[in-house]
Amino acid sequence: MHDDQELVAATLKGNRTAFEMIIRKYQQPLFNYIGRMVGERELALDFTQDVFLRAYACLPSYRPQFKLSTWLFKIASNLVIDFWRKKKIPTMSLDQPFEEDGDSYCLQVPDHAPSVGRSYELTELRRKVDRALARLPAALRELFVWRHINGLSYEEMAEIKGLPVGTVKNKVFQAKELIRSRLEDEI
Amino acid sequence: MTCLTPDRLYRYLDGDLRPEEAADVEAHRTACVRCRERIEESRALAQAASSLPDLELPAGFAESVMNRIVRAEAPHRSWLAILGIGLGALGVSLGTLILASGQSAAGLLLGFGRGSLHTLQGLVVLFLKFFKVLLLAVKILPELAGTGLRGLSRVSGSFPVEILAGTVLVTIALASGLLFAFRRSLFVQDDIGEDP
Repeated sequence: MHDDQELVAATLKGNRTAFEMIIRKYQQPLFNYIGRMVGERELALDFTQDVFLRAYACLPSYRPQFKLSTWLFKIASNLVIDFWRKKKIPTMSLDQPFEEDGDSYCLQVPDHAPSVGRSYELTELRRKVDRALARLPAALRELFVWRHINGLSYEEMAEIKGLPVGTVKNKVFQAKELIRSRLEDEI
Repeated sequence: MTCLTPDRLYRYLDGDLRPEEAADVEAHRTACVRCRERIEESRALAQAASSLPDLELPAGFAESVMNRIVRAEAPHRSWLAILGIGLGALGVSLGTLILASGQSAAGLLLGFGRGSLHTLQGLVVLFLKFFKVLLLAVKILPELAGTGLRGLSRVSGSFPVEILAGTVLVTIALASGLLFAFRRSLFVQDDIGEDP
Protein backbone atom coordinates (compact mmCIF):
# COMPACT_ATOMS: atom_id res chain seq x y z
CA MET A 1 0.00 0.00 0.00
CA HIS A 2 1.38 3.39 -0.98
CA ASP A 3 1.74 6.19 1.53
CA ASP A 4 -0.91 8.91 1.18
CA GLN A 5 1.68 11.67 0.88
CA GLU A 6 3.43 9.79 -1.94
CA LEU A 7 0.12 9.39 -3.75
CA VAL A 8 -0.64 13.10 -3.34
CA ALA A 9 2.81 14.08 -4.62
CA ALA A 10 2.45 11.74 -7.61
CA THR A 11 -1.01 13.15 -8.40
CA LEU A 12 0.33 16.69 -8.30
CA LYS A 13 2.96 15.63 -10.84
CA GLY A 14 0.15 14.58 -13.18
CA ASN A 15 -0.10 10.88 -12.33
CA ARG A 16 -3.83 10.17 -12.51
CA THR A 17 -3.37 6.54 -11.46
CA ALA A 18 -2.12 7.79 -8.09
CA PHE A 19 -5.34 9.74 -7.55
CA GLU A 20 -7.38 6.70 -8.56
CA MET A 21 -5.56 4.80 -5.80
CA ILE A 22 -6.59 7.50 -3.33
CA ILE A 23 -10.19 7.11 -4.47
CA ARG A 24 -10.07 3.33 -4.06
CA LYS A 25 -8.64 3.69 -0.57
CA TYR A 26 -11.17 6.20 0.75
CA GLN A 27 -14.32 5.64 -1.32
CA GLN A 28 -15.86 3.13 1.10
CA PRO A 29 -15.27 5.04 4.38
CA LEU A 30 -16.53 8.26 2.81
CA PHE A 31 -19.57 6.57 1.30
CA ASN A 32 -20.37 4.91 4.65
CA TYR A 33 -20.24 8.33 6.30
CA ILE A 34 -22.10 10.32 3.64
CA GLY A 35 -24.70 7.59 3.11
CA ARG A 36 -25.60 7.63 6.79
CA MET A 37 -25.70 11.41 6.83
CA VAL A 38 -27.94 12.08 3.80
CA GLY A 39 -29.97 8.87 3.86
CA GLU A 40 -30.46 8.65 0.07
CA ARG A 41 -28.23 6.29 -1.89
CA GLU A 42 -28.08 8.23 -5.19
CA LEU A 43 -27.47 11.50 -3.41
CA ALA A 44 -24.76 9.88 -1.29
CA LEU A 45 -23.06 8.57 -4.45
CA ASP A 46 -23.16 12.06 -6.01
CA PHE A 47 -21.74 13.63 -2.86
CA THR A 48 -18.99 11.02 -2.59
CA GLN A 49 -18.04 11.73 -6.20
CA ASP A 50 -18.08 15.46 -5.44
CA VAL A 51 -15.73 14.98 -2.49
CA PHE A 52 -13.12 13.42 -4.79
CA LEU A 53 -13.67 16.01 -7.55
CA ARG A 54 -13.20 18.84 -5.05
CA ALA A 55 -10.21 17.11 -3.53
CA TYR A 56 -8.62 16.73 -6.97
CA ALA A 57 -9.24 20.39 -7.79
CA CYS A 58 -7.96 21.60 -4.41
CA LEU A 59 -5.06 19.17 -4.07
CA PRO A 60 -2.44 21.90 -4.71
CA SER A 61 -3.69 23.64 -1.55
CA TYR A 62 -3.54 20.46 0.57
CA ARG A 63 -1.02 20.79 3.41
CA PRO A 64 0.91 17.55 4.01
CA GLN A 65 1.11 18.09 7.78
CA PHE A 66 -2.56 17.04 7.95
CA LYS A 67 -3.70 13.49 7.37
CA LEU A 68 -5.27 13.03 3.95
CA SER A 69 -8.20 11.11 5.50
CA THR A 70 -8.93 14.03 7.85
CA TRP A 71 -8.83 16.47 4.92
CA LEU A 72 -11.19 14.31 2.84
CA PHE A 73 -13.66 13.94 5.73
CA LYS A 74 -13.56 17.72 6.21
CA ILE A 75 -14.50 18.25 2.55
CA ALA A 76 -17.28 15.67 2.94
CA SER A 77 -18.53 17.28 6.14
CA ASN A 78 -18.72 20.70 4.45
CA LEU A 79 -20.73 19.18 1.60
CA VAL A 80 -23.11 17.51 4.03
CA ILE A 81 -23.57 20.72 6.05
CA ASP A 82 -24.34 22.64 2.82
CA PHE A 83 -26.91 19.97 2.01
CA TRP A 84 -28.54 20.27 5.45
CA ARG A 85 -28.69 24.05 5.08
CA LYS A 86 -30.32 23.84 1.66
CA LYS A 87 -32.79 21.27 2.94
CA LYS A 88 -33.33 23.48 6.03
CA ILE A 89 -32.37 20.62 8.32
CA PRO A 90 -31.41 22.14 11.70
CA THR A 91 -27.63 22.20 12.05
CA MET A 92 -27.03 22.87 15.71
CA SER A 93 -23.68 24.16 16.76
CA LEU A 94 -21.64 21.58 18.60
CA ASP A 95 -20.50 24.38 20.90
CA GLN A 96 -24.05 24.76 22.22
CA PRO A 97 -25.70 22.37 24.68
CA PHE A 98 -27.81 19.84 22.85
CA GLU A 99 -31.54 20.05 23.45
CA GLU A 100 -34.16 17.47 22.71
CA ASP A 101 -37.88 18.16 23.01
CA GLY A 102 -37.11 21.59 24.36
CA ASP A 103 -35.31 20.37 27.47
CA SER A 104 -31.62 20.58 27.88
CA TYR A 105 -30.23 17.10 27.46
CA CYS A 106 -27.51 16.00 29.83
CA LEU A 107 -25.99 12.68 30.67
CA GLN A 108 -28.20 11.02 33.25
CA VAL A 109 -27.29 8.50 35.89
CA PRO A 110 -28.23 5.06 34.49
CA ASP A 111 -31.72 3.91 35.39
CA HIS A 112 -33.13 0.45 36.03
CA ALA A 113 -34.33 -0.19 32.48
CA PRO A 114 -33.76 -3.68 31.08
CA SER A 115 -30.36 -4.21 29.50
CA VAL A 116 -30.31 -3.55 25.77
CA GLY A 117 -27.28 -5.77 25.35
CA ARG A 118 -29.04 -8.76 26.91
CA SER A 119 -32.31 -8.22 25.05
CA TYR A 120 -31.03 -8.48 21.49
CA GLU A 121 -28.74 -10.71 19.51
CA LEU A 122 -25.90 -8.92 17.70
CA THR A 123 -27.57 -9.00 14.26
CA GLU A 124 -30.79 -7.62 15.68
CA LEU A 125 -28.85 -5.09 17.72
CA ARG A 126 -27.04 -3.88 14.57
CA ARG A 127 -30.35 -3.36 12.80
CA LYS A 128 -31.77 -1.43 15.73
CA VAL A 129 -28.62 0.66 16.17
CA ASP A 130 -28.72 1.52 12.46
CA ARG A 131 -32.35 2.60 12.78
CA ALA A 132 -31.75 4.60 15.97
CA LEU A 133 -28.74 6.21 14.31
CA ALA A 134 -30.87 7.48 11.44
CA ARG A 135 -33.08 9.28 13.96
CA LEU A 136 -30.24 10.96 15.84
CA PRO A 137 -29.83 14.73 15.45
CA ALA A 138 -27.59 15.23 12.42
CA ALA A 139 -24.66 16.84 14.25
CA LEU A 140 -24.50 14.06 16.87
CA ARG A 141 -24.98 11.40 14.19
CA GLU A 142 -21.99 12.75 12.29
CA LEU A 143 -19.69 12.37 15.30
CA PHE A 144 -21.06 8.94 16.21
CA VAL A 145 -20.54 7.67 12.63
CA TRP A 146 -17.00 9.03 12.52
CA ARG A 147 -16.15 7.45 15.86
CA HIS A 148 -17.82 4.04 15.62
CA ILE A 149 -18.21 3.37 11.91
CA ASN A 150 -15.23 5.19 10.41
CA GLY A 151 -13.04 4.60 13.46
CA LEU A 152 -11.68 8.16 13.64
CA SER A 153 -9.91 9.24 16.80
CA TYR A 154 -11.33 12.03 18.97
CA GLU A 155 -8.32 14.15 17.96
CA GLU A 156 -9.05 13.69 14.25
CA MET A 157 -12.72 14.55 14.78
CA ALA A 158 -11.77 17.64 16.78
CA GLU A 159 -9.46 18.73 13.98
CA ILE A 160 -12.15 18.30 11.33
CA LYS A 161 -14.76 20.21 13.33
CA GLY A 162 -12.35 22.77 14.79
CA LEU A 163 -13.51 21.98 18.33
CA PRO A 164 -11.78 21.02 21.57
CA VAL A 165 -11.30 17.26 22.02
CA GLY A 166 -13.30 17.35 25.26
CA THR A 167 -16.32 18.85 23.50
CA VAL A 168 -16.20 16.19 20.81
CA LYS A 169 -15.97 13.40 23.40
CA ASN A 170 -18.93 14.80 25.30
CA LYS A 171 -21.05 14.93 22.13
CA VAL A 172 -20.14 11.36 21.22
CA PHE A 173 -21.19 10.26 24.74
CA GLN A 174 -24.48 12.12 24.27
CA ALA A 175 -25.05 10.35 20.96
CA LYS A 176 -24.42 6.97 22.60
CA GLU A 177 -26.79 7.75 25.44
CA LEU A 178 -29.49 8.83 23.01
CA ILE A 179 -29.14 5.63 21.02
CA ARG A 180 -29.21 3.57 24.21
CA SER A 181 -32.29 5.33 25.53
CA ARG A 182 -34.09 4.89 22.22
CA LEU A 183 -33.30 1.20 22.15
CA GLU A 184 -34.55 0.87 25.71
CA ASP A 185 -37.79 2.54 24.65
CA GLU A 186 -38.23 -0.22 22.07
CA ILE A 187 -37.89 -3.04 24.59
CA MET B 1 -18.22 4.33 45.21
CA THR B 2 -21.53 5.49 43.68
CA CYS B 3 -22.86 4.03 40.42
CA LEU B 4 -21.12 5.07 37.19
CA THR B 5 -22.25 8.20 35.41
CA PRO B 6 -22.41 7.84 31.60
CA ASP B 7 -19.42 10.19 31.28
CA ARG B 8 -17.33 8.05 33.62
CA LEU B 9 -18.59 4.86 32.01
CA TYR B 10 -17.67 5.92 28.45
CA ARG B 11 -14.33 7.32 29.54
CA TYR B 12 -13.64 3.97 31.23
CA LEU B 13 -14.54 2.11 28.03
CA ASP B 14 -12.33 4.48 26.01
CA GLY B 15 -9.43 3.79 28.39
CA ASP B 16 -9.45 7.47 29.22
CA LEU B 17 -9.39 7.21 33.05
CA ARG B 18 -6.31 7.49 35.22
CA PRO B 19 -5.11 4.07 36.51
CA GLU B 20 -6.48 4.67 40.03
CA GLU B 21 -9.87 5.80 38.62
CA ALA B 22 -10.00 2.74 36.37
CA ALA B 23 -9.20 0.51 39.36
CA ASP B 24 -12.11 2.10 41.30
CA VAL B 25 -14.44 1.37 38.38
CA GLU B 26 -13.20 -2.24 38.20
CA ALA B 27 -13.87 -2.68 41.91
CA HIS B 28 -17.33 -1.17 41.63
CA ARG B 29 -18.10 -3.24 38.55
CA THR B 30 -17.42 -6.43 40.49
CA ALA B 31 -19.75 -5.37 43.27
CA CYS B 32 -22.58 -3.71 41.29
CA VAL B 33 -24.65 -5.86 38.94
CA ARG B 34 -26.40 -2.85 37.46
CA CYS B 35 -23.19 -1.07 36.45
CA ARG B 36 -21.68 -4.33 35.20
CA GLU B 37 -24.68 -4.74 32.91
CA ARG B 38 -24.39 -1.14 31.72
CA ILE B 39 -20.74 -1.64 30.84
CA GLU B 40 -21.53 -4.79 28.89
CA GLU B 41 -24.48 -3.11 27.22
CA SER B 42 -22.37 -0.13 26.13
CA ARG B 43 -19.72 -2.48 24.80
CA ALA B 44 -22.38 -4.40 22.86
CA LEU B 45 -23.78 -1.20 21.36
CA ALA B 46 -20.32 -0.01 20.32
CA GLN B 47 -19.58 -3.44 18.85
CA ALA B 48 -22.88 -3.45 16.95
CA ALA B 49 -22.19 0.03 15.55
CA SER B 50 -18.63 -0.71 14.53
CA SER B 51 -19.65 -3.96 12.84
CA LEU B 52 -22.45 -2.42 10.77
CA PRO B 53 -22.04 -3.63 7.17
CA ASP B 54 -20.55 -1.27 4.58
CA LEU B 55 -23.02 0.57 2.38
CA GLU B 56 -22.77 -1.00 -1.05
CA LEU B 57 -20.80 1.01 -3.59
CA PRO B 58 -21.51 0.32 -7.27
CA ALA B 59 -18.78 -1.49 -9.17
CA GLY B 60 -16.59 0.89 -11.14
CA PHE B 61 -17.19 3.85 -8.82
CA ALA B 62 -13.53 4.93 -8.89
CA GLU B 63 -13.46 4.71 -12.71
CA SER B 64 -16.57 6.87 -12.97
CA VAL B 65 -14.95 9.54 -10.77
CA MET B 66 -11.79 9.42 -12.89
CA ASN B 67 -13.90 9.74 -16.07
CA ARG B 68 -15.50 12.88 -14.65
CA ILE B 69 -12.07 14.29 -13.86
CA VAL B 70 -10.86 13.55 -17.41
CA ARG B 71 -14.02 15.12 -18.91
CA ALA B 72 -13.63 18.22 -16.73
CA GLU B 73 -10.04 18.66 -17.93
CA ALA B 74 -10.78 17.88 -21.61
CA PRO B 75 -12.21 21.29 -22.69
CA HIS B 76 -9.17 23.07 -21.25
CA ARG B 77 -6.77 20.80 -23.08
CA SER B 78 -8.72 20.89 -26.35
CA TRP B 79 -8.58 24.69 -26.29
CA LEU B 80 -4.85 24.59 -25.84
CA ALA B 81 -4.59 22.26 -28.85
CA ILE B 82 -6.86 24.51 -30.92
CA LEU B 83 -4.89 27.59 -29.93
CA GLY B 84 -1.70 25.88 -31.06
CA ILE B 85 -3.24 24.79 -34.38
CA GLY B 86 -4.68 28.27 -34.92
CA LEU B 87 -1.37 30.03 -34.31
CA GLY B 88 0.40 27.57 -36.56
CA ALA B 89 -2.15 28.06 -39.33
CA LEU B 90 -1.89 31.84 -38.98
CA GLY B 91 1.88 31.64 -39.35
CA VAL B 92 1.57 29.46 -42.46
CA SER B 93 -1.05 31.84 -43.93
CA LEU B 94 1.13 34.89 -43.35
CA GLY B 95 4.13 33.10 -44.85
CA THR B 96 2.09 32.14 -47.92
CA LEU B 97 0.80 35.71 -48.18
CA ILE B 98 4.32 37.13 -48.16
CA LEU B 99 5.52 34.64 -50.74
CA ALA B 100 2.46 35.16 -52.99
CA SER B 101 2.77 38.96 -52.88
CA GLY B 102 6.32 38.85 -54.19
CA GLN B 103 7.21 41.63 -51.76
CA SER B 104 9.34 41.71 -48.66
CA ALA B 105 7.60 41.24 -45.33
CA ALA B 106 8.56 44.81 -44.36
CA GLY B 107 7.03 46.23 -47.55
CA LEU B 108 3.87 44.25 -47.03
CA LEU B 109 3.50 45.44 -43.44
CA LEU B 110 4.15 49.04 -44.54
CA GLY B 111 1.40 48.82 -47.16
CA PHE B 112 -0.96 47.25 -44.67
CA GLY B 113 -0.12 49.94 -42.11
CA ARG B 114 -0.80 52.79 -44.55
CA GLY B 115 -4.21 51.43 -45.48
CA SER B 116 -5.08 50.79 -41.87
CA LEU B 117 -4.18 54.29 -40.62
CA HIS B 118 -7.56 55.87 -41.41
CA THR B 119 -9.43 52.90 -40.00
CA LEU B 120 -7.29 53.06 -36.85
CA GLN B 121 -8.03 56.75 -36.35
CA GLY B 122 -11.73 56.05 -36.62
CA LEU B 123 -11.44 53.22 -34.13
CA VAL B 124 -9.61 55.42 -31.61
CA VAL B 125 -12.37 58.02 -31.76
CA LEU B 126 -14.97 55.31 -31.40
CA PHE B 127 -13.10 53.84 -28.44
CA LEU B 128 -12.93 57.22 -26.68
CA LYS B 129 -16.65 57.74 -27.17
CA PHE B 130 -17.44 54.39 -25.63
CA PHE B 131 -14.81 54.67 -22.88
CA LYS B 132 -17.37 55.34 -20.18
CA VAL B 133 -19.42 52.41 -21.32
CA LEU B 134 -16.30 50.25 -21.17
CA LEU B 135 -15.57 51.40 -17.63
CA LEU B 136 -19.01 50.22 -16.62
CA ALA B 137 -18.51 47.01 -18.52
CA VAL B 138 -15.31 46.32 -16.57
CA LYS B 139 -17.41 45.89 -13.47
CA ILE B 140 -19.37 43.06 -14.99
CA LEU B 141 -16.60 41.84 -17.29
CA PRO B 142 -15.32 39.03 -15.02
CA GLU B 143 -18.78 37.55 -14.83
CA LEU B 144 -19.31 37.94 -18.57
CA ALA B 145 -15.90 36.48 -19.29
CA GLY B 146 -16.63 33.59 -16.96
CA THR B 147 -19.93 32.92 -18.68
CA GLY B 148 -18.26 33.20 -22.08
CA LEU B 149 -15.47 30.82 -21.15
CA ARG B 150 -17.91 28.37 -19.64
CA GLY B 151 -19.89 28.55 -22.88
CA LEU B 152 -16.75 27.98 -24.94
CA SER B 153 -15.78 25.11 -22.67
CA ARG B 154 -19.18 23.51 -23.15
CA VAL B 155 -18.95 23.94 -26.91
CA SER B 156 -15.44 22.53 -27.00
CA GLY B 157 -16.50 19.72 -24.69
CA SER B 158 -19.44 18.83 -26.91
CA PHE B 159 -17.47 18.45 -30.15
CA PRO B 160 -14.38 16.41 -30.94
CA VAL B 161 -11.11 18.33 -31.09
CA GLU B 162 -10.77 17.47 -34.81
CA ILE B 163 -14.02 19.27 -35.71
CA LEU B 164 -13.09 22.32 -33.66
CA ALA B 165 -9.60 22.42 -35.16
CA GLY B 166 -11.12 22.12 -38.65
CA THR B 167 -13.45 25.03 -37.91
CA VAL B 168 -10.52 27.15 -36.76
CA LEU B 169 -8.53 26.25 -39.88
CA VAL B 170 -11.43 27.19 -42.20
CA THR B 171 -11.92 30.47 -40.33
CA ILE B 172 -8.25 31.32 -40.62
CA ALA B 173 -8.24 30.39 -44.32
CA LEU B 174 -11.19 32.75 -44.89
CA ALA B 175 -9.51 35.50 -42.87
CA SER B 176 -6.31 35.01 -44.86
CA GLY B 177 -8.28 35.25 -48.11
CA LEU B 178 -9.83 38.53 -46.98
CA LEU B 179 -6.42 39.81 -45.95
CA PHE B 180 -5.04 38.84 -49.35
CA ALA B 181 -7.87 40.72 -51.09
CA PHE B 182 -7.25 43.73 -48.84
CA ARG B 183 -3.55 43.59 -49.73
CA ARG B 184 -4.39 43.62 -53.45
CA SER B 185 -6.53 46.73 -53.08
CA LEU B 186 -3.69 48.36 -51.15
CA PHE B 187 -1.23 47.56 -53.94
CA VAL B 188 -3.64 48.96 -56.55
CA GLN B 189 -3.72 52.22 -54.57
CA ASP B 190 0.06 52.14 -54.34
CA ASP B 191 0.30 51.57 -58.10
CA ILE B 192 -2.04 54.54 -58.74
CA GLY B 193 0.08 56.70 -56.44
CA GLU B 194 3.31 55.72 -58.19
CA ASP B 195 2.02 56.26 -61.76
CA PRO B 196 2.97 59.57 -63.36
